[in-house]
Amino acid sequence: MFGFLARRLPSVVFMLLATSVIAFLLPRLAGGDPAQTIAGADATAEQVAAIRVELGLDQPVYAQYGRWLGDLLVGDLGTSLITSRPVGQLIMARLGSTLELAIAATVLMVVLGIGLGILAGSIRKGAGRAGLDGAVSVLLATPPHVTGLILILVLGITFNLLPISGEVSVLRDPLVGISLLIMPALALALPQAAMIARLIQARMYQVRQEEFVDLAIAKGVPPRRIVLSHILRNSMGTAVVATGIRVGELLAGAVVIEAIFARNGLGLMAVDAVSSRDYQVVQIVVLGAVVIAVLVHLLSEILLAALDPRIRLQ
Amino acid sequence: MVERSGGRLRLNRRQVLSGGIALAGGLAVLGGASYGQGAPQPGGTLRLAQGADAQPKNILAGRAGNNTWRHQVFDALTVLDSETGQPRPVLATEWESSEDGRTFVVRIRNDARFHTGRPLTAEDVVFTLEQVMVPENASQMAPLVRAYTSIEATGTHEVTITSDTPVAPRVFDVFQLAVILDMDTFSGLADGSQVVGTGPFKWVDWVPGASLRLERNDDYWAPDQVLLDGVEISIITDSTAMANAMRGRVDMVLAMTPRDAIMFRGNPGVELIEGPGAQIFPLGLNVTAPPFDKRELRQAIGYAIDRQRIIDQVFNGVGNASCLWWRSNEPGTTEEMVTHYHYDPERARELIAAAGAEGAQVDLTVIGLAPVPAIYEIVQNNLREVGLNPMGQVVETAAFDQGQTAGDLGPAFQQIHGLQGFSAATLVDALPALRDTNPSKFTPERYRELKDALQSAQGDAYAPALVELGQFMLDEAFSHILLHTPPLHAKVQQFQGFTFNNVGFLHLAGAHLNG
Repeated sequence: MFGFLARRLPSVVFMLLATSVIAFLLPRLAGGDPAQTIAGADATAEQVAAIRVELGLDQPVYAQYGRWLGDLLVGDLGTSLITSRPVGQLIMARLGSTLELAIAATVLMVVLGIGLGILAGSIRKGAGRAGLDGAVSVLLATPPHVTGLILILVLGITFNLLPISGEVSVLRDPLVGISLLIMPALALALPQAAMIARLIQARMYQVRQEEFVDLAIAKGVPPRRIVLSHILRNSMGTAVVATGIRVGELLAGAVVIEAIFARNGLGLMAVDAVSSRDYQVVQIVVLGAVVIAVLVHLLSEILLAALDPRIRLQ
Repeated sequence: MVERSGGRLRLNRRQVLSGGIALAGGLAVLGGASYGQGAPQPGGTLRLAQGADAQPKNILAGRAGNNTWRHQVFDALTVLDSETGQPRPVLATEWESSEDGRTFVVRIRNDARFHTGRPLTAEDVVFTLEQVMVPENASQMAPLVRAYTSIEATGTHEVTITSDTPVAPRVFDVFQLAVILDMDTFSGLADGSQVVGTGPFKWVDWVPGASLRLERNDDYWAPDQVLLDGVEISIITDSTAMANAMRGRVDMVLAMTPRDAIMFRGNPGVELIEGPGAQIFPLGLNVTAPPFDKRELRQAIGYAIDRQRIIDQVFNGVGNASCLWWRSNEPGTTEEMVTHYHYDPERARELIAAAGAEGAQVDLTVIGLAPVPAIYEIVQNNLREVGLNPMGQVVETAAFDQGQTAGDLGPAFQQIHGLQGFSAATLVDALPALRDTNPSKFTPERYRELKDALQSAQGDAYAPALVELGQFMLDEAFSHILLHTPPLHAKVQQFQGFTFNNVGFLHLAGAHLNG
């Protein structure tokens, strides 16, 4: 395991360094200026110029990058150009909200995805299969923001079952916190769960055609055991890889869902930072997203190896 | 030599208000119309939702995110009444102007204290006005204050301003925006760690982009007017999600879109309010760029636009088709000026023919901020109807603002401006569409002369000066105002006693939740 991680390290470091350059340059290439955001739309050229000097934006780009990277290496994430608050503090203030949403959505995605996948892969004919195929297709084709709006209309406004706006930490008030989490987490999870279900279903059909399944049937192994021990186990690798990838996509979808349900998470913070050209925040968010993606990918590889003995971490 | 003077436009009459009268009067009329007059009872926390984040660093500049809390945490010397547009005292107790208007003396309350406990003095007023001039503070009033030759504390509670041109009435625009800051904690405004004023509520906690919490100031100089225990402001950037917060999460939503407001029409539990202050939507034309160097073509565009259609289709009927750059309660404003350009496609075609500009291409740069792109769709259609060839390019807000600051937005452009409620004399140098570095490149000597005449006018001379400048601007047609749209707010019935001033800033002194 340690050997596997050590071999991955150089490529990870290179990737993070390349990402830091891209994260630094990208917002600066987009036009606009944080000094202009602070000065406002009515600002004069003199006011914008004075704020540029105050923020250090009049320095050469390579000098700004060097200073940022140097600070980063000693653990200083920088200071927001717009709010003058430490970026680390801003992220920590929003992290809880995003974590709660991500965890709830991931749990729902895995449970619903695997459950639906097994069901769809086990039922091979009749109305049940048609119904499940239809449901999975609809969920797959409906983007999270549409699902979110439908949930708001049905569960929030028409039947008034769940609150539609706001957030309370689950740790502070579990009941209220969860009631505020259900709809956004469902909206985020359903399309991704459908994708996982479709992959498991297809893989189960494929495995069912393998010779060892025929052998098991010929030996008189009960159908339930064939499905659970032979077909499902050999199909789960796909689900694990897909889940790893889907977590990343799920977080991307969180931006829209946070906006619709008025949750103050990291996604919304990133969008605000982009539109206000808060370079320091954008840089850290992009870099952080890449670090998370790399970690999730590594975790998927380790899990895959644990599930399938034929795969070794080499 | 100081002579009796007084209100904003009638400077011949001295306006002196004793402390007691000022207290009662100031609070009763902070902003004019009061919303609801139910029996006030103390207690409760008011929950508000707004779309823009607070910007304590820019407290001296006009910012949408500061409108809800500016006058809760801070006090101004005076505020502009939403109905009359005239100044009303808050921290100021009296003011007087010299005969030539070049010396202005303001006296302030002697019983006001900052939230730190330190008494307010004239030095704080001087400090605040000096900060208005600092470019980094980005105040729209900086050019006005820079024109003063001196700002001095001539007593513990008296400040004297001198200038080469008359100080009043425009000084009341400065006072409206320049809420009085605590010089000891000024540096804390940058990151919101210390936001200290003399207002009825104290700044407690700010999570940037998410929420702001204020609590009652028990030591306020008018304690009877602080009825609420606190204020919680949620920042919700998505407009529909913000409107949805009215379904149980908050007591008031500020600055909703007309589209979102529809869902509350007919709802007995929710009251919709059109506030003072407004947004205006200029369509600017670069007078140095052919074919817009021809005045007839510029005027033709004014007649080609169907403003009522924009109001009906983009704003669901909320707005008014005024051609002016200032509020219609400005002295001197006439109905003819307000409706000078009205939808008349036939006349537009005649003017286009007179300019020899049939089929001319109109390259429009459009700010990518809702609802301007939607307005452009109608503008485009109107211009095609009169035989022009519009070609629009929607530009993201950050990049558009850069072009606006540089005064370079191309041959034609669609902007969005606020600051409505300040005097026309101030707006002609504060609005990017009108100031000397305007992107229309409209800088004839006559324009500056007329601006100077308006800015020097006092008392009865103000209205004719405004008429002359307004008619000149309308005739030159370098910037067409397409419409004014008031801010739309929604509130629960129980929330009453609050006021808005002339520029649309909220005042919660006297507000309560048990109406």
